[in-house]
Amino acid sequence: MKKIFFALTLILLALSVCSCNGDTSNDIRYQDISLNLNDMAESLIENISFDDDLVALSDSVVEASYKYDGALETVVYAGGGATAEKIILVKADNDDDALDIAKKLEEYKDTQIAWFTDYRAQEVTRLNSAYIEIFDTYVVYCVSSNQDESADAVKSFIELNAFVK
Amino acid sequence: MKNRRYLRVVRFSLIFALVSCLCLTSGFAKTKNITVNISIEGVPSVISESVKDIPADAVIIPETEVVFEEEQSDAEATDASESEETEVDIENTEDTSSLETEYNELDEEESDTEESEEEIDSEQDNSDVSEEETHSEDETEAVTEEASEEDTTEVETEQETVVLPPDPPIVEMPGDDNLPPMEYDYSKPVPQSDPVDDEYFETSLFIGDSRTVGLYNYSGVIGNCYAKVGLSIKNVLSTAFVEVPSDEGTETVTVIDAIKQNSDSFSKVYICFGLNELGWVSSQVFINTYDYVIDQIRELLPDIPIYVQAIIPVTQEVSDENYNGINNDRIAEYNQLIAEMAFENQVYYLETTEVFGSDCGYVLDPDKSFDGIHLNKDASLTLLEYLRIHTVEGNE
Repeated sequence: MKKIFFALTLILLALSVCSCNGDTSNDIRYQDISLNLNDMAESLIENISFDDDLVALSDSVVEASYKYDGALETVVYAGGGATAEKIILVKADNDDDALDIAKKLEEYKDTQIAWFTDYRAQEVTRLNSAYIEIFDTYVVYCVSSNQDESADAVKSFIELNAFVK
Repeated sequence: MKNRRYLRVVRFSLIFALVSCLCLTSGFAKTKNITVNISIEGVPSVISESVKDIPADAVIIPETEVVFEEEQSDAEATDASESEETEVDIENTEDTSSLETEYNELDEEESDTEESEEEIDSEQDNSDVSEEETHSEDETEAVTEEASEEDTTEVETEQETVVLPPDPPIVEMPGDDNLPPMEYDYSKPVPQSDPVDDEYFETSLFIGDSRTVGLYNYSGVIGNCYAKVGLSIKNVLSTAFVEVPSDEGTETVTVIDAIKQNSDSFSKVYICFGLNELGWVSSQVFINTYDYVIDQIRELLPDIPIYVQAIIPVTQEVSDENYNGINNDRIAEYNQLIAEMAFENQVYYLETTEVFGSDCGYVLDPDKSFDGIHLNKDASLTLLEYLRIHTVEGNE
């Protein structure tokens, strides 16, 4: 009986640790993956409701405005300046770079909040629920009206299209 | 006895599990939405600290918004929270004004600059106290009258319309590849020309508000863009938002500092403002500030053409809403002033309304914008094509 209690307690402990640890950090589905960022962006455009007409920014624009140290590839979809809606997908060189880029994107989000606060306050709501996530060495930044929808679309794409390295 | 021991064990285990759970939750809660691979040690705390630790030079000075008279009274009557916003805006106005004053002090030699500074200050006063509006309007008219005497341009202050002389002066320009022919009529919009290629835009500098951001995003060919959402002619010189390379990677600077660092990179400048200023009490303050901004840019880039774009109208629905003074009558009034200011400053006026407002009066086609204000991709490409076939270089 005593052993059973201990066993149950250990299981409970293990479950509590797992539940505290976010969605993707130790999820084997999101480790050692290889993604096509352009395909991913197009999939997100199709499966997430955006108000603005998001289009892929040219390489020159991305190079000038979305350059991140440690980024191997960056794909950005943006609108016409009316909303804060945006998709930024970055493939980092390694885990540390992915972390740094995620930090940069958090800062970028804060800057956007500052810009939109006195311009279009309703965009601040979107920005506050921005979806910023790391999957292996990939960083996803998605601002839409529905964070859950963004999360589902991103994870669905990865589960269906992530090729093991 | 056995039961007690079991109970102790169970109690201990549950407390341990609860404490572990709380500890881990508090650690990971700091990561906000960033999920970190568990193999990286100490990552969550690094993120949470760094997010708070944004460099001071990255701080953006908020857009200063002067509430239109009617809007202000509506806001007071309907919503207390909006009144709070107005107070914040006024504080921001003071901050921005003080920074602009620093810029103005650098240019003490030009009396026009001082006049412009006074106009900015008077605009700030207008947003604070309605009684002072009359005073600042008088100042504005005085400045306008002075300008009209010098340029022999007749100004009707009541309607704020200017009758230009029938035969505008022909300005002789020094020979330069980037400059227009020796004789150029600045009183008219830039006429249609031979189209320029994408390479032309690689050395162009675009300065403006969210509409310029849209053009930059959608066109894909513009080389340099110092634009941001919510930017106005009043804070374009004082707001640090342009990222430039530095010893530490990048730094965020003002438009003026960015131009100083990259002055050799630009062969022409396109400026587009006015939409965010439609709610200002005085249109003359807007145009005087615009004039001052052009002076500052020309001082740094003396030998390259400067184009100013007309404000593209909004849809009828948006115009009828009249939010923040955005309506097509006001846009037409501002465009008239921009055209006159271009003539007086000998910069090139681009009447972009030709392709967006002429079909059904001075109104934007709803199919060209999802929100009635900002151009969609197709319309942005139309605008780019207009710019492509309206250049002084193409007319040579």
